Amino acid sequence: MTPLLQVEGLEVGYETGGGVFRRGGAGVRAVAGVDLALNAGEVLALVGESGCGKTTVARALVGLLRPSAGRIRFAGRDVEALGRDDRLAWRRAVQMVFQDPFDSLNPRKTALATLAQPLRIHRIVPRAELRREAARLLDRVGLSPGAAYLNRYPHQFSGGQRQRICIARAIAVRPQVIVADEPVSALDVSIRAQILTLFQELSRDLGLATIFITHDLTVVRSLSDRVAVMYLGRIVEEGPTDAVFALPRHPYTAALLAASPIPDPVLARRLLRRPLGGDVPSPADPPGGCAFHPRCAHAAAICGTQRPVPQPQPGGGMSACHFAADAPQWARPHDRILEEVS
Amino acid sequence: MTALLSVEGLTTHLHTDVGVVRAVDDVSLAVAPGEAVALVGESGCGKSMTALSMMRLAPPAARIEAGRVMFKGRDLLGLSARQMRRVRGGEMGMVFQDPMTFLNPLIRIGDQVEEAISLHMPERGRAAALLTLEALRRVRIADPEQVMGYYPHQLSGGMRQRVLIAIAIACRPSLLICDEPTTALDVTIQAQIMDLLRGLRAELGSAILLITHDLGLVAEYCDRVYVMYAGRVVEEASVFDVFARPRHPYTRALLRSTLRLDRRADGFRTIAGQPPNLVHPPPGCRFHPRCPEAFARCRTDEPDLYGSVGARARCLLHAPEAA
Repeated sequence: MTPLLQVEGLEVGYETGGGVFRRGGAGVRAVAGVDLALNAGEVLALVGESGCGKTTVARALVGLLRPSAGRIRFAGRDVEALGRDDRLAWRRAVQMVFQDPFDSLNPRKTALATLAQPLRIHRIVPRAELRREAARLLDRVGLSPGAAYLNRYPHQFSGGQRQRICIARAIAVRPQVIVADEPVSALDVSIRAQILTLFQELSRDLGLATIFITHDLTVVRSLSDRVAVMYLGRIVEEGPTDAVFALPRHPYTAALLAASPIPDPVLARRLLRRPLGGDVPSPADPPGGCAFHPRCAHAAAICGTQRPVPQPQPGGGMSACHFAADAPQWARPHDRILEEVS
Repeated sequence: MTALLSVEGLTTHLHTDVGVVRAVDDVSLAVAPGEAVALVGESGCGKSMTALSMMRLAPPAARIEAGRVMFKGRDLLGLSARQMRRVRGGEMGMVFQDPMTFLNPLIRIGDQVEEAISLHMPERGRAAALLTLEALRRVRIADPEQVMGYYPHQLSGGMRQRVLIAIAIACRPSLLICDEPTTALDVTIQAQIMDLLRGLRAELGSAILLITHDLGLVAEYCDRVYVMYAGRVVEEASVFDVFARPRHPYTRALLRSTLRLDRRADGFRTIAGQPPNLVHPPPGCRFHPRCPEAFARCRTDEPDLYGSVGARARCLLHAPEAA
């Protein structure tokens, strides 16, 4: 089966060091060679800490940034080679939801105007139907009756309601893929659950494939089918979510799992926690070999000299670690620890 | 046991264009020496405003209407601005969410830490510089001599938070108030900072008041918990009790909507509705419009905190006559 959306060797660079006082300067490779595949109807979580390049990948996927190398294929076709009409079809099929619902809605536009624009551009419904379609979309995202919200401006909505409008805008053009960049990070726990439920319903009812970018591993665990973990511009581990959480096969994934607080005081006090030391290195000057080796408790000499190539793993995933095969010895799989102590 | 900090009936109103917001309404809490206490709730519940009122740092629109803040035997609300400045940053350290807001971008790190020291301690010159170095070392900053010469923008978010903690602990405070200290940080850096705070608590014997929305942090690092909803404390309990036997329906709902790493949730539990408007809070129990267990009296009778000190809930289900 051809994946719906496929990324091969994606690289995206930013110019740095330029500006008013200096010209030129070294570039930063925010994304340094990423391979990803998203199948129809699948939820893929992309996780990593700030600066790992996950947002840059998202922006390249929807065409907001131009890759400096690599290929993005939609339904098997290279998006760079698409003609004008096919390009518009791709842009329509892949829609984005941003993190901050306060920044991503035009404060001068009513909900109706916000939703009518994409409907008009992509000629989804006849002009006379715009109002009814916009109301239907608001109903779909849980703002009902939708007609009652059409003439409101963003400031008249709460944060959670705004994010619902952003989601309505994304699904307005009947896309096949939603790329959601930290869509619940700005929201409170109880509101977050409502929006996550909405994402779950959309992927189930509309068959939408989703790339869900987050730094929150608890969300990954409950929402996604597959997970890809990024570190310094590269994917270090990828695989079925349950398999990765049961036995991470990259030390960085294991460290992320171990660092996440456990909302259970009895277990938390029995688990030995060794926080990962150090800071994420600058992507302008990444360490040689495996980019994670300076912080890795299991690093050996080879890790400083040779960059590990992603290798298929038992369980259907892949890991870019020289010692992935020894994972059962060094990984601290959360599930297993929890079983032992409980 | 004498409390180090004891807040009694603290009430803060915000005077805004839309009316008087009852941001903090009759809040009482206590922190014993060396204890780690959590003040938990969602945004807008009044937890930060409670902390700011205690430290007399609430914004100009806020007015403290009632209450006492007893800290080491003195009521902080009765102190002059000058006396208050001696308490803050001295016996009472503060760590906030966004270190960039509290660090001056134009002043070197060393000078900022030293300023905090010279405000509260007699040491000057070389002696003050040595204390600065010690504070930076204590927060496990590698190469503190070099970092002293840096400006804030040259540090990562985690390092800036360490600097803020260094300033907070430089004068060996007996209480450290931490308002969402790791919310802006990545999870591995959050683990480092929380680990550091736990270490400092053991080293210096400081008590910690952790203000957070993250029940995971509460479970891992705190001894006792106060849960706030709509400006009021709705439950107080030991950390073990609050997770094993939550008394208030709001606490139960909050725990149910908390996701876990070790299992896939079979659905995302939500709390229906929105937190109430605090200009016109609902009559009776403030949680009743969203409460699955509400009954007739919840709409009319304002609940008290029922139970014994340290184990009680503001819910009519726990009222003595209901039992």
